[in-house]
Amino acid sequence: MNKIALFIIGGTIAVLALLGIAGVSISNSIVTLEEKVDSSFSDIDVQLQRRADLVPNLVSAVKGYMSHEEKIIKDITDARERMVNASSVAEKDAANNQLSSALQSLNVVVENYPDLKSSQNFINLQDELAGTENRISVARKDYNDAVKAYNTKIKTFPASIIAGMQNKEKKEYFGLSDESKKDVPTVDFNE
Amino acid sequence: MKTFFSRLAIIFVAALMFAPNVFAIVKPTEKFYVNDYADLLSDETEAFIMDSNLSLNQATGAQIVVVTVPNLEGRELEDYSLELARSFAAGDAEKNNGVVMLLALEERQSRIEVGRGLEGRLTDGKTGRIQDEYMIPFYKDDNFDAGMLNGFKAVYAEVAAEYNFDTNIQGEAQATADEDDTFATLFGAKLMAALFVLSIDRRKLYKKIISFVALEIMTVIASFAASKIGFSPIVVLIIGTIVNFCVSWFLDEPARGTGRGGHYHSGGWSSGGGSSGGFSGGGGSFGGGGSSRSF
Repeated sequence: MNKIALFIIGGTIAVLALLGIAGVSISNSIVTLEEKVDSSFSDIDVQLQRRADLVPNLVSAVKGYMSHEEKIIKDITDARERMVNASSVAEKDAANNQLSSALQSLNVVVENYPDLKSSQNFINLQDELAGTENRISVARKDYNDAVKAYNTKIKTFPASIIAGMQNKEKKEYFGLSDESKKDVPTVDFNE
Repeated sequence: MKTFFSRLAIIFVAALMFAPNVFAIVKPTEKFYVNDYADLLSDETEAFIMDSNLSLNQATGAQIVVVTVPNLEGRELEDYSLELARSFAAGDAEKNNGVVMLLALEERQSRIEVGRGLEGRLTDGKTGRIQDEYMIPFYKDDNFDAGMLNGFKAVYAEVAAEYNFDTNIQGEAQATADEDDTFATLFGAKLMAALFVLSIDRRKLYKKIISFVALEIMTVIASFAASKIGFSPIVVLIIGTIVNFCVSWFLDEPARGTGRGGHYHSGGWSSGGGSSGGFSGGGGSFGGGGSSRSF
């Protein structure tokens, strides 16, 4: 009788210990995925900031050549202003899309200013801006991939139990429209 | 005998599982640094890129991978380039110092994709200028070989400058790299055979004999290889045979965790691929840095 009681107690402790270990490792993997989501989110922010920082250089490089294109330059500085003052990353991203379209109209009129178009400084700035735009779209994609992995994890068994206990909630995807992707300017030297 | 074959099957399946996944993008060739799928580069250019990379990689971990493709399979240049760079994982995993130079023939587009660790040196503006000055003028005349070689030299100079890497010691470093590679291959092959044999239960006499023969075959191959790098094959053969005998005769219980043996085996397989001149990416990460051109 004593032996049976001992066996049951021992068995229960063993099972609980195993469950505990499994729970901790699942919880850790959830945390890892969540951190990946957070770090990719800050990547987006960093790249958006970087792009905003580049705009004043572009404006000063362009101004001397195109004094008649006040509207375009104003659009660009306005969009940049909105980006800098944005309180959330989503807002910043929206402002960035506005900036992208303003830059696109700049690229159209640049055709009328061959001196500007061939100036090393301008080409350099265009490359930096295009590169940053590309980094933003990469960061956005990486973020969404991380969100997908995280959401899938907390919704599937057995991690769903642990996630439920810790009140883990689904994360939102970021700016799903692919429009900004198409705005990536490529420098084309075909005459 | 049954376990012998079933283990062989497990190892085979494990090796298959570790084979690279099928991507829509091109896969690394066995040369890794040169992937001339559009067949635009001369042998001299390819040799130059390989040699330069071997010494650079040994000293700095950096990898500059050159890829030409007939077309982008309908994808955007930036998308294709990033996925390719990430799947090649060029550059050191810690330093993230890989660069991928991509040329798409049909689309007439060129891109230099820069790993995160080199973005400070190879800024987007600089990669753009390298393409404008050293590559695009040649590409426009369909002189792809000269354009790629020129661009590669420019990128190489930047990366070397980043690490204060003296390009003059190239020849010397090259020889060491080759030797290291052969050693690694020999060691890998021997380890593979040993792990394989250790994973079999050899308490029966005929199994001891089978494992001894298996090890001995590897030793004979190893001694041939050893003679190529200036070792006495007879010494290798004698020492190897003694070791093989001891292993197969005395250590006759199967090693624990034989499943892991299978994994190691497949790992050994891919590094063993080094024997045929195969190289692989160091695990560097890419965040979309670089610049694109049409020509």
